[in-house]
Amino acid sequence: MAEAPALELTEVTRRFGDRAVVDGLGFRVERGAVFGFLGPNGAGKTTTLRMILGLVAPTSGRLDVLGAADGRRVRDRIGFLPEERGLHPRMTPLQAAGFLGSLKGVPARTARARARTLLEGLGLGASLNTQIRRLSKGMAQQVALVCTLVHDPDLLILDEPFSGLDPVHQQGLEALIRERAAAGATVVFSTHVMSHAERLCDQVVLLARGRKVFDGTVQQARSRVPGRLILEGDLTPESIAALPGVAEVAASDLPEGRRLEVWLSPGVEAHQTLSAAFRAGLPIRRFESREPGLHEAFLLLTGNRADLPEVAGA
Amino acid sequence: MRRLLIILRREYLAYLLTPGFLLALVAFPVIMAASIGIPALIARQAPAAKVAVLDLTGLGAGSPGNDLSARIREGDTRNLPSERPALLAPLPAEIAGARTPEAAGRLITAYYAAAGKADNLPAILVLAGTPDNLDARLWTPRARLIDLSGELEDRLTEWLQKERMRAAGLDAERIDNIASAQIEVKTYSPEASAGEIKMGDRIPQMAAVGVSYLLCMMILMGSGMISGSVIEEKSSRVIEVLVTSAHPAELLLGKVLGILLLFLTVLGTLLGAGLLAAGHLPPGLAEGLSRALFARGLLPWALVFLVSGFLMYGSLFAGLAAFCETPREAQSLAAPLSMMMIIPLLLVISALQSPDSPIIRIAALIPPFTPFLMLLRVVDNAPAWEVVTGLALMGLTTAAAIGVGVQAYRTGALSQGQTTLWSLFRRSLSARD
Repeated sequence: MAEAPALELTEVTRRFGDRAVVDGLGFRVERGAVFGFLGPNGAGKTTTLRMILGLVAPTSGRLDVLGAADGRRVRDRIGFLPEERGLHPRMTPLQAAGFLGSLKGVPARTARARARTLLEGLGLGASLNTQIRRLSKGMAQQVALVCTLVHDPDLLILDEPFSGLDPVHQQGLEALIRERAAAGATVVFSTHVMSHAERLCDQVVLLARGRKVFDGTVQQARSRVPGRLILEGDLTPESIAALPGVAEVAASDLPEGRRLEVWLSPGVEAHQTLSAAFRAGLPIRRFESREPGLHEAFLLLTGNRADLPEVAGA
Repeated sequence: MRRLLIILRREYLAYLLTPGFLLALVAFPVIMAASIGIPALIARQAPAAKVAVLDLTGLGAGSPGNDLSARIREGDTRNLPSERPALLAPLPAEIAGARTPEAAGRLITAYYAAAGKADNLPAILVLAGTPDNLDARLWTPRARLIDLSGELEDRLTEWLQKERMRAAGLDAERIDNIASAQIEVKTYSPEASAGEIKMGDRIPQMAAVGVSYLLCMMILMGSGMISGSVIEEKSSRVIEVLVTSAHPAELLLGKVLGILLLFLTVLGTLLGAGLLAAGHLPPGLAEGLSRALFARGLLPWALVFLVSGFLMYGSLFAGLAAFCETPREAQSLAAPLSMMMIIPLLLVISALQSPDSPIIRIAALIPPFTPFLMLLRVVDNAPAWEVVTGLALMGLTTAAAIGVGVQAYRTGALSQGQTTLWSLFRRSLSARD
């Protein structure tokens, strides 16, 4: 018999008045997975996380959070870092960890000891007994994250955890997420920065206007996006459209020749089409190609194809 | 329960370990002592009132002016509250020539005007008429009532009574005998410890009034602390983490109970200091005091109403604060509730005289008034059903306040950015639970 998932949502809808902020959402997160919950601002990510935590009731649908109907019944097993994270400003990091850890059922002394180790690992060893109001914003965010971890949660829910962190701290957070997942915790995080999800996630769900538009691995998401080629030379759209794997061609005139933006069919590798073009002896002066990333998948799947960036690299 | 105790402990220690609290602990008895001592000191420092007498009755040696001047010289007139005897001042020369009260009035007015704002000008008593129709006018430099007028009135009345007895043919011995006649009515009650009602028997009532005022002080001070704590958690955004770590009711109650425990610590410390001081009182006084305080379960009942009253009002204030984003909003929302506390304090004064009047009995059952009035009813031997009903209604009100506070807490935790009170109220109605 398969192990029960850490998290499962079935046809979950949440309405505010007439507006469905989350509409018929369903997904399943296996235990120990790193799960990315992606979507543009206002897609319904935070509302979904709040329903998981039990702060907001779903209008309809069913949730299963570590075997419970919502997070309130298993709050000691969940670590939650909200988007607008905060701590008592007059507490020191160790006091905050002791207090929040003890609320989660860990003896305050143990929580403080764990926090000390984690904070020293993050380079905050000199600030253990400094009041949080005296720390920089980035340091305070690190402390908030550590307070989320001191009770060693089975399910870690992070709402936009990378926002406001500098690149060094973002890297540190990525390492911490990997470490927690390796230790068996399930990590659910929301973000609209695709590079983090691309590097970290075993599974991603893309949400747009409250509805799920994709559920799968990063690789599967990428494969939904057609590859793109930019070709320059004395070329005609018809000659390029005749090549194998070409789905769509858009042409623009250059001082000498033309520039063609070529969309490939899903699953077609750019080098296959390029090889065919060279074999056909087409006069190509310059080409650019790139494998689609999660960012492109995000834009395409959330209905923002027009915003796709220019292809870079050759 | 575990989480509630953790939150309680945090709130308690957050205030207990601050220099401000330790200073307040020392300052409280000093302020109390000062509030009693300073008025007495001011009264002692005030100069004794001076009175000059202008007698226009023409009654010679036995005139009321002469009699009154003698009594003033003997120190027989006291000016409350200092209880210092008034001094007889010489009649100002400018006034001595007056022949009628009206002329005296004009001269006195001119005299005061010429003297300007000189310190401690004498009051001037002008006496005219006959013993059957005595006209007495007391002039003072400032248009304000002085307590001395009552004393002068009493002394003149005594003179008049003696004059009439003399006119009726009584000799001096009989007159003195009648004038010194006095009877004291002693009050007895089966409830009094020694049959006769003494001051000690009134201590429970006085203590009950004291507890009401103490509760009022605790609520007014505590409301600011509770609101401040809630708003700090909202503004620092720690509230969202807290509501996912504990039930909002635990957060709210832990906060109220933590601050209540802080006040009880202060009261316990002061009570301990009081007990130590009682060891130095004369044996009879200390014993009587302790018997009065423990009579009819006064102290346990006082504790019950202090705790339940603070819990009820604290929950209301915490709930209101949860709707607010700034201390200013919290203050404006809490102001009507704070002002409402004037009503039970006024009722307490009436209840001291007639604790079993129908209005007091009904008011004691209305939850916002119960903690202030029911203790007076208890020391007046209120029926058990009244006390139980009052406590039950308070319990229900507290539960309702916590219920509203929980919704407000959860809604407040989820609100982001600028929002209005009204929108929070509306959203709290659609929040979960």
